[in-house]
Amino acid sequence: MNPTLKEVYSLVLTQWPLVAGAYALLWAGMVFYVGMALKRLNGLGKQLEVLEAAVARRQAAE
Amino acid sequence: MIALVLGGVLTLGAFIGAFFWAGVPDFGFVRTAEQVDSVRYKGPFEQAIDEARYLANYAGYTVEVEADGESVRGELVSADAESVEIATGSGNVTIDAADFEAATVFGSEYGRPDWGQKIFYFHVPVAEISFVVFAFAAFYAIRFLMTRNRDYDTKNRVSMEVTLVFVGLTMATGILWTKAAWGVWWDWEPRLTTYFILTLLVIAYFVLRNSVEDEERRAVYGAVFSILAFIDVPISFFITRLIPSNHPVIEGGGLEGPMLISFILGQIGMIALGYAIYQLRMGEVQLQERIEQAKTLLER
Repeated sequence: MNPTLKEVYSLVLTQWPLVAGAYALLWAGMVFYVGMALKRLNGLGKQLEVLEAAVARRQAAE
Repeated sequence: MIALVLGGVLTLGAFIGAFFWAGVPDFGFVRTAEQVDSVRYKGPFEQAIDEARYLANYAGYTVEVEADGESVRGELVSADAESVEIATGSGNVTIDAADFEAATVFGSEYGRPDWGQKIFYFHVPVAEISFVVFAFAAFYAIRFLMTRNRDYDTKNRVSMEVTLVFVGLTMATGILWTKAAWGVWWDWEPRLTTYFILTLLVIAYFVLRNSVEDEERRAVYGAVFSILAFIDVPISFFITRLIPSNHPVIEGGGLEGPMLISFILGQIGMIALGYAIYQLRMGEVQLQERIEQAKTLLER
């Protein structure tokens, strides 16, 4: 870490809760949205597998 | 998935670069009576004072006061509208405010670190991506109206969803930056106002879609609305360049070295993440369509 940053971080910085809040919101929002999308995608993939297997069984029976 | 991993790695790199490599710019200054060893030391300062009462804020500083045709130099003990007390080598001297003519305050000046600037490394890329994805939404809307191909309607809707995510993140990070930089949570200045209108328009798009039951009409209304709403994007982008605004504007040459590299990494990473989120949602919609097809086949 460069000396300027070391000194800056050692100071009492009134803005830090806002900076931390901005990054927390950004990452939490992004991770939550992507996580939920991946979870839904996974669930839909499993549902599709079951349905396609059922379709294949029916077509084989016909 | 590659775009998602790439976006994650690049934004993480930008985060590390922004906090552990790039310096912190100064936002104003801090003054002290004595010089202390600091990398943010700017140099000595001299402040001219024309009324005795204005010296009240400088207790402990070295001052030189002109009063009644004489000059007194020493450490300021106290000052008010009545008198000024100065500690000199030969004892304390009290000067009546009526005799006060002028004074000079001497001290050291330091840069005040603009910690809030760290928000900018992600706030700007997120805002840019919200504009870019909105542009894609408008493009797909035009394509839909030209061809009436439902795939374009789906792409328009998914693009608007991704826009909503990025608009929300831009507003959240922007409000926190506004508080850090300006000391207020909100200011009705041109950029913030036009971006707030943009946010309302994106929300209104989904309200409109959900209020129309007929699929064909819903797609047409959605397409027309997203094209009209897109007009606010260039307005919001250029407004800070056209009329006076407090909002910072990035123009060529503003950033250098580690700051610039971290910022570019953040931008590329956010583009990758925007693309990845769009593809994820498109994949989800396509899977839903295949599920519907499979269900239809089974119901026959």
